[in-house]
Amino acid sequence: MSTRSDRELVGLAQAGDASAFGELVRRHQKRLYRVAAHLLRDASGAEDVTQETFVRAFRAIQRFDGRSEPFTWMYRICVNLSLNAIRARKSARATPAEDPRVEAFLVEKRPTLADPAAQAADRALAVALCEGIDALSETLRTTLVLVTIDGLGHAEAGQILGCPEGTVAWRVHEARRKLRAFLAARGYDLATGGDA
Amino acid sequence: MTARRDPLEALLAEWPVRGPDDATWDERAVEAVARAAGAGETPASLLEPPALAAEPGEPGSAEAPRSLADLARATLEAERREQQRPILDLAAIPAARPAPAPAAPAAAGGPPPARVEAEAQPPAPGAAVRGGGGRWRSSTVLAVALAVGAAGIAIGLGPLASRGPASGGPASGGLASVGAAAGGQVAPPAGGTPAPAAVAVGPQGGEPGVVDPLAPVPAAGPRGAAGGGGAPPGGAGARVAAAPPAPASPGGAPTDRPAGPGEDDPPPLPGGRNAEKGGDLPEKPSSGAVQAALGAVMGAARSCVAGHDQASTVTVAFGSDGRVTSVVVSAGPAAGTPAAACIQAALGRARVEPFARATFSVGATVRPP
Repeated sequence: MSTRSDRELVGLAQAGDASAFGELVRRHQKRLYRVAAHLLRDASGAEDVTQETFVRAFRAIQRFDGRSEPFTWMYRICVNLSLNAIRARKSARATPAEDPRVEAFLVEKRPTLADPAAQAADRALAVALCEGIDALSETLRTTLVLVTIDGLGHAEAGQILGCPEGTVAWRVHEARRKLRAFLAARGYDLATGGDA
Repeated sequence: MTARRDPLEALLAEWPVRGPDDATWDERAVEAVARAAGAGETPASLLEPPALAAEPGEPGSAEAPRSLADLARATLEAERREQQRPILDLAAIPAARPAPAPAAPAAAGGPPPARVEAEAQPPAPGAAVRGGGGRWRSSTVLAVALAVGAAGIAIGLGPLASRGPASGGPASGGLASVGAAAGGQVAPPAGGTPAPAAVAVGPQGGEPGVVDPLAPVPAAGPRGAAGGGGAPPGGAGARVAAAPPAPASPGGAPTDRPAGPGEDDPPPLPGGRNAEKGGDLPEKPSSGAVQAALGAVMGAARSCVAGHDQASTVTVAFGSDGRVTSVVVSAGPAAGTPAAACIQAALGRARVEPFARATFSVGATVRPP
C-alpha cells in the first residue's frame, strides 16, 4: 500500500476504501501538523486541526477533481481550518513558555545543551523570531509558514492560497524584509549572518 | 569567500514542531478515519482558497495598478474626484482657464455631498502629480489616451481573457478590466478563483489621510496607525475599520443576504465617468444582482466567523465600475478582530455590473456557518 501514489490512494478512497485514506493520513499528518502548529502556535490545537483536516477531506473526497495534488488540496483545508481557529479564539496567543515552536527550535535547530549562556541566547533568538513572525499580518505569516518554514514551492503555495506565484514571491520577500527589520530592532543582524 | 546560505532562511527552513510520538500518530490516524466515516458535510468554503486580505503594495492590489486599463480607470477616477472638489478648490482655478467641456456644468452646480467627498482614495499613479491650471486637460488627455490604448488591448487580447491563469489573479483581473474599459462588459475572472490581489477593499492601515466613506462618525482616526513606519504590522486586525454599530438592517432578522440598498447613497454624478459613456447604464445595480454578487462570496465570508456565536454586520460599498470599494465590519464579534480583515477580503471579491451612481452601499449580515 505504501508504494501507491497519493492520487491512487485518493482514487481508492473515492471508491470507498477507508484504509487507503488511512494511508494518506499517515503519510501527511506530521507535515500538516507542523503547518497548523506554526499557524496556531498551539500544539493541542494543531493536533485537533490536523485530525479535522482529514475528517473534512474524507467527507469531501468525492469533490476532489484531480486538478491539484491531493496534498495541496489537504493543505488548503488545513490552512482554512487553522485560520478559522485563529479567528474564533478569543484569548491571547500562547506565552513563549507554552509556544511549541520555541522548544522545538532549541532542541532540534540549535542544540546548545552544554552551554547555558548560549542556550539562553538561543531561547531569546527563538522568542524574537516567533514574535516577529506573529507580528506579521495574517496574509504574510501564512505565506511565510507555507513557503519558508514548510518548504513549499511558490507554485504549490499559490495553488493553496489561490493567488499567482508572483504574489506568493512578493509576500515571502515582504515577510522576510519585515521580519529582518523586526529582528534588527532587537539587535539581531540576520542580514549579514551574525547575531549582534 | 564562498556563498553562504541566508541566515534567516537557515533559521526558518523546516523549523520543526514536536508532536506526538509515532504510536500516538497511528492512533490519531485510525481515529481520524473512524470519525471521517461518520455523518457530516464539509463546507465548500474549506475547499476554497483561504480569505486573506491583500497586502498594501502587493502586486495587483489597489495601490498598484495591474494593467493599462487599470491605470486608465484610476486616472478617470481621479479625474472624477477632481471634478467633485468643493467650490473652494474650484475658486483657486484661474478664471481665464477654459472649463473642461463635459464636466464644467456639473462642477459648477455646487459642492457634492460631503459623503462623496469623503470617498476620496489614495491618489492614483499618474493623477497625483498634477498641478495648476493644466491638470484637467492633461489628465483628460492622458485618460483618453489610456482608455483608447486599453480598448485596443481589449480587442487584441480579448480572447485571452477567457483563457487566463487557472488561479485567476492580477493577469486575469487586468484583462477583465480591459474588457470593461472597452465595452462596459465586465468579464468574470478566469478560473473562478479570484486572487487576493484582485481585492479592492477599503483603505489599509498605514495609509495616510484616508477617510472611511461609510463610517458614521466624523473622520475616523488613523486606522492601524500603530503599525506604521518601519515596524512590522500589528496584525490583520490593525487594518480593520471597526466603526460603531450602523443601522445596516432596519428591522427583521439578520440574514446572509444584503439588507437592501442604502437610502443615503449619493445621486448619480452628472460629470461622472459613467454618465459620459452614455445613459445606457442602470442607475444602480439591481437588488438581485447585488444579492447574487454577495451570495457568491458569502460562503467565504462566513468561514471567517466560524466559531463566533453571533452574526456580524457589514456595509459593502460598490464603486460605479462594479467593484467593491470598501467593506466595513460595523458590528458584531468580528468587528475589530482579524476576522474583519478576512471578511473584507472575502466580500471584496464581489462584483456587479457597472452602474451610473458614484457609489452604492448595502448592508449585510455575516452569520457563522
